[in-house]
Amino acid sequence: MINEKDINDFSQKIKEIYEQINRDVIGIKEVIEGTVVAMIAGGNVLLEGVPGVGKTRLVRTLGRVFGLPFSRIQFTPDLMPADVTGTNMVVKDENGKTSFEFQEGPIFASIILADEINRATPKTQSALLEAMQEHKVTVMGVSRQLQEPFFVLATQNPIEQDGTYPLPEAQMDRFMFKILVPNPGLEDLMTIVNLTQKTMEEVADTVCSGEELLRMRETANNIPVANDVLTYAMILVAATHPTGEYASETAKKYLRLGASPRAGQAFISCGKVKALIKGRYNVAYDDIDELATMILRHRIKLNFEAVADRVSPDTIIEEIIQEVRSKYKIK
Amino acid sequence: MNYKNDFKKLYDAFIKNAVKKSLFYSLFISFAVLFVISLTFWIVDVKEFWIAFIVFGVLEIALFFIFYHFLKPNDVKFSKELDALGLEQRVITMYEYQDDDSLMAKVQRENAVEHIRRFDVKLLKFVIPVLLLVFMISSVVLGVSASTVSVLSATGVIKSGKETISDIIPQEEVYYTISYTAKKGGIVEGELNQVIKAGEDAEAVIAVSTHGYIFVSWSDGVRDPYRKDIKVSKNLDIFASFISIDEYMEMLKNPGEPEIPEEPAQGNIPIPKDEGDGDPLLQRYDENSQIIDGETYYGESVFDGYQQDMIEMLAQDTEMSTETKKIINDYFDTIEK
Repeated sequence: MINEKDINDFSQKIKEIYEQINRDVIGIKEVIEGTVVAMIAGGNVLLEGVPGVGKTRLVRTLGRVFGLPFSRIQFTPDLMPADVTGTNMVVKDENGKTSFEFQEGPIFASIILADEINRATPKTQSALLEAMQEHKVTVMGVSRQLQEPFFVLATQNPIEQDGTYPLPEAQMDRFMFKILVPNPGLEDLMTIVNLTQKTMEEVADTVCSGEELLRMRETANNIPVANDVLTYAMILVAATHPTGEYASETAKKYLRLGASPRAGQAFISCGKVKALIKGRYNVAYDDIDELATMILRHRIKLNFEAVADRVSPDTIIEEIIQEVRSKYKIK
Repeated sequence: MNYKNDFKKLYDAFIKNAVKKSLFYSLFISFAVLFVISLTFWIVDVKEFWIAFIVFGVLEIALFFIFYHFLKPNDVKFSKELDALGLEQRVITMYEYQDDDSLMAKVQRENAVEHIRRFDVKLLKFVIPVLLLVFMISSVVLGVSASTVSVLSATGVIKSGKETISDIIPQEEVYYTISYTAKKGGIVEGELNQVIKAGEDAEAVIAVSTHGYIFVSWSDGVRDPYRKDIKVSKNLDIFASFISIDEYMEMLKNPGEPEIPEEPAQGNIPIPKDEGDGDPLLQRYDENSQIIDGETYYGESVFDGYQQDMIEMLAQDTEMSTETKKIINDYFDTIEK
């Protein structure tokens, strides 16, 4: 049960979290906000951007700010699933008796930085599936629960196509958000360069424990959602299905596959967090709209026409939002 | 809804808006209908103009209530409308969770109430879109104008629409062709082929017989060689018939059924009767004795003969005063011209 203090502390905590992150990560405010929202809502995040824009630094900083066990897995083509999950090792005890002992892999942490995730083979990528969705790992028939909170913050590099393996839909769907990390603007770039000339050291302090993070999640979960807002979010998801009853004209034209029910869950859980961050105690249509591209862009499959017309997923999502708002007279 | 009491002012504003909107929309439609009915009555010349006013009144009342039924605020509508004005679904959430006793629901309600109290009531002012206002004004102006015209028309002050339209809109002009031809024994003088606007008069023509022939009649039975067709209403193809004098004399010697050289277009043409001394036809159709446009034209030989006789007669007459002789001379001078 949450109490009044939890509600009052939420905005204070959020403020502190942003302050600390901003000490180490310059610019990319929307990326930071998206990542924090996903972490509070308990979702995994896929960060996509060119090398050097601060993806890895952001994830490391988050680990520091939340004071959570952090591990980094650099995905390479020769990485094996056991390298991720851990494996049973033969060990000898004091009496010389041999036995199997499970050696935990890097997945046994709270914040996992899966760096360049699309460079590993699908077999290794799939080692993350169970961990991402169920927060547990099964090795040699034995399931082991991962500690809470647990997040996978993956990065992928869009231009390094050689030697990469696109993430399968099933795995993509397990990322709550796909956030595009843009190049910094001129002002941010100058700040970054000035900052790093003095020191490369990361200075963010821990301001939120794992327990506090879970408390924040619980607080957000209690935010009420009006039926209209819930319906709107679900219609938005349904409107991405090109053959469904609620299919939008844009989806019919440009999409091959729509978003899964996980998108609907993400809309509501993240909408609640977003509302609380804004100091509102209910989810609004605008919260849903602001989350739409991050939630949907990796869950929709474009058809040939969209590719031929060079229409981006973000454009399609914006058009679907406009259509749904107009069709259902949502003001 | 419990919270309604907290925001009575807003709720009342919504009711006022609903009344204003209902009145506005119903008047808009009613005046449009009044315009259509009145215009129709005026055009088809219906005298019962009061029907339009009754329809207007009944329609206005009915539409007002229908619109109000749909526009009047209920709790959900009130909440949504407020939310749409910048309250970000706070009110609808508060409404739906009004019976929820959880801490978060209470906090949400407090937050919503706080925001609603800060809400500017002026935002609820009923603002009529300019385009709609233009339509409304047009509807009222047209409705009032048409009904006024309808009343004035029904009371005989102004013409009905039917009459006015026929006055304003020119009828399609129809033209007819008239063709005058002459059969053997004569010619037709004047414009032989004429194109005449419907209802107007044709130019006059005259049938003139050649030497040895006399004019009988026109093919439509007209026996006067001079003709002027008036108020032409159809195409005409008229010919003039002539008969030779010999043939005519033969006919006189053998009375019976008159033999007409060409059958006239309309009915039989009676032979002219003898109206005095000598052969009436010879006198009448003498080329030197024609009447054209109401004036007598004398041939030169006839005129000269008469004038010579008159000069001799006046010279021999000693009893006639000089003044009388001068009048007679002046007369001959006049007709000679």
